[in-house]
Amino acid sequence: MLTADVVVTIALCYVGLLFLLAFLSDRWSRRGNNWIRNSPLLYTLSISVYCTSWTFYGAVGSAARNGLEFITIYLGPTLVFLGWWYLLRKLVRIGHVNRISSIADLISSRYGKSNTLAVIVTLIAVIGTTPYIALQLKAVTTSFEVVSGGRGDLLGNLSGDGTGFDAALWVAVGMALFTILFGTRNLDANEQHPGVVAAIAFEALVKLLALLLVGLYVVFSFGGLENLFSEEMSKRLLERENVFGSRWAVLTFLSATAIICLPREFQVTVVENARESHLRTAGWLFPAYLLLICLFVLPIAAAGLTRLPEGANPDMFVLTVPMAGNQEMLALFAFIGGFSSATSMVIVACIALSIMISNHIVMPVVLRLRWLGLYDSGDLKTLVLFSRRFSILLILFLGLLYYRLSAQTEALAAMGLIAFAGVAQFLPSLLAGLYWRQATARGAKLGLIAGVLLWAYTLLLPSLAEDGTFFADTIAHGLFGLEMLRPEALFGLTGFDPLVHAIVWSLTANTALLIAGSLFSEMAPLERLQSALFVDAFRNAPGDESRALVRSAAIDDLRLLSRRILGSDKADRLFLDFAQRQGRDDGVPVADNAFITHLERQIGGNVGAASARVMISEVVSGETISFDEIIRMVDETQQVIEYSQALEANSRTLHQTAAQLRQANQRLMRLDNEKDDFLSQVSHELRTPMTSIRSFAEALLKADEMPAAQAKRFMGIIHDESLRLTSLLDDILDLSHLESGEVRWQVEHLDPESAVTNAIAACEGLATETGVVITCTPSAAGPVVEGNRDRLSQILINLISNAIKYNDSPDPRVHVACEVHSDGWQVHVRDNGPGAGDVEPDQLFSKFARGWRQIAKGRSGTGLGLAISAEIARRHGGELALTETSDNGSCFTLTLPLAP
Amino acid sequence: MPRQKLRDAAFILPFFGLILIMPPFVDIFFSTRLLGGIPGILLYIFGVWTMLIVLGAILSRRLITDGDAAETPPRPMQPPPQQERPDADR
Amino acid sequence: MANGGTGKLGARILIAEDEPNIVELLTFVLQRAGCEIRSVSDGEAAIAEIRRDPPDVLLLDLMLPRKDGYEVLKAVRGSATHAALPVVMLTAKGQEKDRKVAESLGVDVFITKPFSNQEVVDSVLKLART
Repeated sequence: MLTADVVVTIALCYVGLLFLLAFLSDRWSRRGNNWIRNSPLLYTLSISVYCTSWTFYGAVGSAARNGLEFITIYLGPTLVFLGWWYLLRKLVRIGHVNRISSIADLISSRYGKSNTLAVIVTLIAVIGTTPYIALQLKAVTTSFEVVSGGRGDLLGNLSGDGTGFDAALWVAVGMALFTILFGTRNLDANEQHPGVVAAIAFEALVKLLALLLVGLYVVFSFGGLENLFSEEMSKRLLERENVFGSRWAVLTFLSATAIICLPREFQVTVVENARESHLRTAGWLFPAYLLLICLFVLPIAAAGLTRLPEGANPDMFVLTVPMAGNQEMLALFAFIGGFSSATSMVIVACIALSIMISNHIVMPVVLRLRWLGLYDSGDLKTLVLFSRRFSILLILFLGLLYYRLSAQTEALAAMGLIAFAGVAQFLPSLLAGLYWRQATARGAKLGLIAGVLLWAYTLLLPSLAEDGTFFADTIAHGLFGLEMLRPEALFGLTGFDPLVHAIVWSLTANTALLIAGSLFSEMAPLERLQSALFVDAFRNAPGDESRALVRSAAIDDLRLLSRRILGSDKADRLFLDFAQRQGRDDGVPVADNAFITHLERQIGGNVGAASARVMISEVVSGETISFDEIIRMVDETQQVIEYSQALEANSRTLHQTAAQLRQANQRLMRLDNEKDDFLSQVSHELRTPMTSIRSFAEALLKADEMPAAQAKRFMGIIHDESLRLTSLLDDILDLSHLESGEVRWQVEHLDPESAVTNAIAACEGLATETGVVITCTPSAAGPVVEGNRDRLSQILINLISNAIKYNDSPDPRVHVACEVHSDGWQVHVRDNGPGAGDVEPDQLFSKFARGWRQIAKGRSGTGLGLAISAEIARRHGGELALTETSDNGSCFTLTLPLAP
Repeated sequence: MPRQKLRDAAFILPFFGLILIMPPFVDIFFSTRLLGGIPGILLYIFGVWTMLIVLGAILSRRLITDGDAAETPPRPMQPPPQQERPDADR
Repeated sequence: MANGGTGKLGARILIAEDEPNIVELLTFVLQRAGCEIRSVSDGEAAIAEIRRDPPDVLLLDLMLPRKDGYEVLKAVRGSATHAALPVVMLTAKGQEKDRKVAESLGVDVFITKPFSNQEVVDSVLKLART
């Protein structure tokens, strides 16, 4: 049987080992040996401070009571770490660039370095963490009693007597000592504690190993898993009503939130992070660690339920199962494992909280209360350290006090999830701060306060009232006896698990007020600047905000201030470095925007952004925040995107324009060629009659004795050719007017077949002269089209006269047929002449078409008739086409749309 | 895999995991029957978990070799050399 | 068919021209100059006529149906027997490029319509003499 003395000695030795490890690591690191900071493995192990004694003992207890549910606490963080590239990486980047010292600092910094926000976050963190610390103390004392046989039975139930408290007190004192020694040993430019990290990582290994060993022992002592899980045990452990209900989802969500928002997690993940690339390893290794932690939880629970008597405390199965098998050394190791998980949590939580308390509560008070004389007393660095140490003592004292006041196991055991729900209130402000530019400090404050009040009312209050002494009335009947305000059924929302109920109300109110408050409040310029820096963390280079923040200061004032906070050595080194970077030989940097911003960050790493800002403001003059620069920073990404899109669009447009221009150019060239051709044609057509006129006239002049008949004939030719010349000019003018659209003619509803009749009548003379027979079949429908009667007649006369003139058939006939169908009204002019030959239809209707001239026998045409007719048809919305042509004749068809 | 696709995959992975461990999927695999001495649901959850870890590890490695390690500056003990900004005085 | 002109008696001229008025006119003035005239109204007929009975001078219009003046000229210059046939080309196409083409094909005289009767007669007679 292990005695208390043995256990205490072993525990003390273990603590001594931790001190030694932390001391050595600190010293290595101080001498420039950075293996702790450079190791992603140690970083990952330190994150496992997530697994406290609540995990170490509580997971098995929870599994014995509630089956699978415990696993959600580890699935949430798994998912968050798997998605490290998006959320954690951004957090870490912002943490590095802005020298963020805590989650309160992050939120305050983002919302315009608002100290009010920092205070709110700090208070919530303290309220949420203190009972959690009490829980760790409780676990240590309880496990101590169990393992040392303070209560000899294996039930693992707790005694409420004084020895427990004494043990807790000593544990607290030891932890305070450790934390003060290694957590506040100095004020680094960043809040990093290699000694603590090394010790925590070591403890992480110890607790994992202990749990695995107990698990393996259980499996082997039962002779394999198949003996451990009977069907019955499997059902007893796992088969619960509605396992995967809303509680499953909410617990997963809560644990995912906690891994980001718990102050100690923020401390190890973000603040203690030395390299962003460590996240790559942690992104999968931390989930693997959690998996290993969970691996044997159910087997141990099953073993406890099988081997231990009814009524044994499942929370102590990790200890009592090996003890029941007389494995005292294993039990002792398990105790050390539990001790490790408790102490590591307390240490990191104390460091994180003490930074928050001293930076956001103590320092601002000191800075305001000038009359205390503290601020002016020179060494602010000592003041900061002092306030840290004081904060650590205060936190542990609060934890002890809470432990003392609520000795009830149940009240403490529930505390883990209640704390999760409390810090979950940070989530809306945090996420909005990282991803929503317009989130304002006002919104964040409103959301946080509302969320916390609801959380306290719906979750914290009922947990305190569990033993029936406090607030029992309020719980049962609501505030002021109003049923609507019952904490566990707020506004009549019943039928939910209390945790789900509280989360739904508090986070909904939190988020809604954050959004509403942000939408209805204006951002201060500094807030806008910080918002730009945070939301665009991956774009803005460090020091970017110095573009927007214009201020100046006396270099000596700055030096004095930084010496007081960073210490002389560090401050002088910083000034020298910066002077070198500015290229100054005298070692005195110029106090420009970049330098002041850099300095403010360094100081902010020690005292928090809000306090640093206040301090810097004391010595700088003429601070202006350039609104334009902020807008520019915010807009730059946008602009780059828009610019490249615009470029793309431009080049597309240019392409299109070029293509259009090419087309236009081709069209112009074609038109130019056509014009040349046309002019050449016109010239040709004009020259031909002119040749006749000139030459016959010349012949008449020169010939002395010409027979009168011949002279008369010559003069007749001259006359005819003059007429031809005139009609040619008329046609050219007509066509050019038609084509340019200048001709306006009167449009009326008319029967097109009356135009056909007119045209046939007009051609009678020519037909009779040449012996051509014209026949006509009108349509029966009596169609109506919209058009100009004279122009329609012109087309038809042209078609019919062509059919007559070029018809060299021995039995020349022209047939005109009208019909009405779906396309409109059509008239076909058909002849039995020689056809158009192999002339292209396009060419046929072009000006001075040559096709007809090949078969011309008369010379009365100008070659423009068909072109003019086709143009008139087009202007009527219709079409003129050569529909048939062969050696036996051809057929022209005019189609016109019917009038509506 | 191109860089953007890797990042998209890294973005999707947690949501993929979430879907697998949330109802209705997890309900489908709920079973207290023993397979090799282990309840079926445990096999499912730990199987999914292991798969996610393996996928996450592969993705993390690929994201490294993708050459973006350069954009993650180590957090220095001493203040980092800040680049001179010629326009800092604007 | 002597008609008291100044030119060489009996110079045999072939006119290839599709405008009847111009044919009539050319016939009139050249007969008066003492030439013997035949006429055709398209390019193919012109080539056939030259082959059948080569004239002393060919008066060739450019814009002829079936085969235009250039093709006729090419056929003439390309033939083995009457490549040296003097050709006077008449055209209503007054552009310089037409003249260039015609000259490159080996036309002897290029006359633009409207022309002076005397110019045509002089050119024809001069060519007929050589």
